[in-house]
Amino acid sequence: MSSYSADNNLSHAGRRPMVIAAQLYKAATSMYHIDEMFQWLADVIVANFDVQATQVWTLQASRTGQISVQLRRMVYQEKLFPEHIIANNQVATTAGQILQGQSSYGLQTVESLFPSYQASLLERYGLLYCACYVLIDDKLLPPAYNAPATEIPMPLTVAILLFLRQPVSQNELSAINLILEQSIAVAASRRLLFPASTGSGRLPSLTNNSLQQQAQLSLGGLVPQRIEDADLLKSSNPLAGSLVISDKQARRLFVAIDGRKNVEEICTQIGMDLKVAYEALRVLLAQHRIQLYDPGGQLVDGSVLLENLR
Amino acid sequence: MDENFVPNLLSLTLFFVSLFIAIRAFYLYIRSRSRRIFILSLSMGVISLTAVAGFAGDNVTSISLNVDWFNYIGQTVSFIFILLSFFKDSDAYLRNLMRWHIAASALLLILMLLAPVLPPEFPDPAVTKSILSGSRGLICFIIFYYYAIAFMEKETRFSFLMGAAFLLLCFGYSIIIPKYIHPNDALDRGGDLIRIAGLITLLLAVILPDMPYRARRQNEIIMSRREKY
Repeated sequence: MSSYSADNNLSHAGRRPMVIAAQLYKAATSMYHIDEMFQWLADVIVANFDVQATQVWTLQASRTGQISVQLRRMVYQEKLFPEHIIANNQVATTAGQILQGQSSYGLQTVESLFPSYQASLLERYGLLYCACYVLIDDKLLPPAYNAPATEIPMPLTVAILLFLRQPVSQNELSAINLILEQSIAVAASRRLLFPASTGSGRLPSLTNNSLQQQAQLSLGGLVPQRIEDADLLKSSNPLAGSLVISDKQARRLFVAIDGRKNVEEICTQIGMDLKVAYEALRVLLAQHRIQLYDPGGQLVDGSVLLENLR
Repeated sequence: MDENFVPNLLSLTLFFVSLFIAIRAFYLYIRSRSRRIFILSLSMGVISLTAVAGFAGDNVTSISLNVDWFNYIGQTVSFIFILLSFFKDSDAYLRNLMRWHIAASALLLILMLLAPVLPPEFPDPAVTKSILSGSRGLICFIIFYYYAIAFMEKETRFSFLMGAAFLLLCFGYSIIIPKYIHPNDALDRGGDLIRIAGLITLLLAVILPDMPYRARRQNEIIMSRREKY
């Protein structure tokens, strides 16, 4: 009887990553920013595995070339410990070292990963173990949803830290790893990540000069152009519905885009208020359905301009 | 067994599969305004009409209908536009392609409406039918080639199934060519059955959710490891 029960549990545990992956595919259809996916993953890991806290750390570049470590999302069991126990400078420093090292650590004791003071702090609240996953991809990670306009996308480097009271099995760790790896593929297919930079450097090549020029441009004078997904109907199922523009105003604006008229002309044509149009443009840019060009035909980083209008 | 059973089964499968894809694609076009989805929708819509015409041609005996012109040319043109939509991703190109596609489809509808007045026989039927019918197989093979490349690059289930579907359609269209020179029922039925298999594969490709093959394989490896454990 107990053997049957154990087999049953094992089989259930084996199916869990597949079930979660299926849920991820479904949930991703209503996501418009990578942070929504990070939040979803952190929630799911804490809810489904014996994990007390999940943190998503990323490297973030600024226009001045500085790179910082950012805590993008955190989910933890609030009754067990206060937030500052796991969200502090010492954990950030360790996360930064993990991100720079770019390799996953698997399950470790907190003593072996954190400085002694931080480790004893974690141990005091029963958090004895930490698992660490690093996800790396050439695709560009957009800045956080509410990030200042000075932040720019950079190649995806994410560290996911899991804080645990007791060690979990290797199967559980593999399952989490599988879910995280699939999430990157789903994020790419949902276009929550920007295409890989074709510039020579590792960071997108934006010079101060070009940024100043972009800032001087009036958004109303920019010409939006539609982008067709290169993979659609070739590698990705066009009937899966991932291309749907749910926002009605964004769809209305998108229909009027002909590749020649600028934003102001389009707004006049369809009788749309400029403020509404900017919001619609933000949606379309986030979904990678359009690109913005200046009157001279040069590609412009429209997301930065739209961010400045907030 | 009724001699029209297999051709009717093919017509019905072709009708329902292509109509399903056409309606779903048109619904998504309204909500996404993707020009490539419009081209897919219109192509499949015309192909579903060729299925209706084929069914009528096989079963209506009270009037003489030459639906083969519409069948052959309609399917070839529809597949050509799907193929052309692969060539470039620029909006200007796809916008122009949409216009040409609408114009070509309007001409095809005229051809369909002319079925009762078109002469019942083709000029030099063996050659004309072989070329018109065989052209569908050729276009399907080129589409298969594109999907094979896409599968090698991205390894998605969608490109694998679409490649398989178009390869089966290509086979189905190609093996019936000799029947236009020497009528052969076995060949005809075999070709129809292969095309039915191709259409079912096409349906599976569009109803199954997107999943990279690599990710699925990883899942299977983990599952098998767990079962061993």
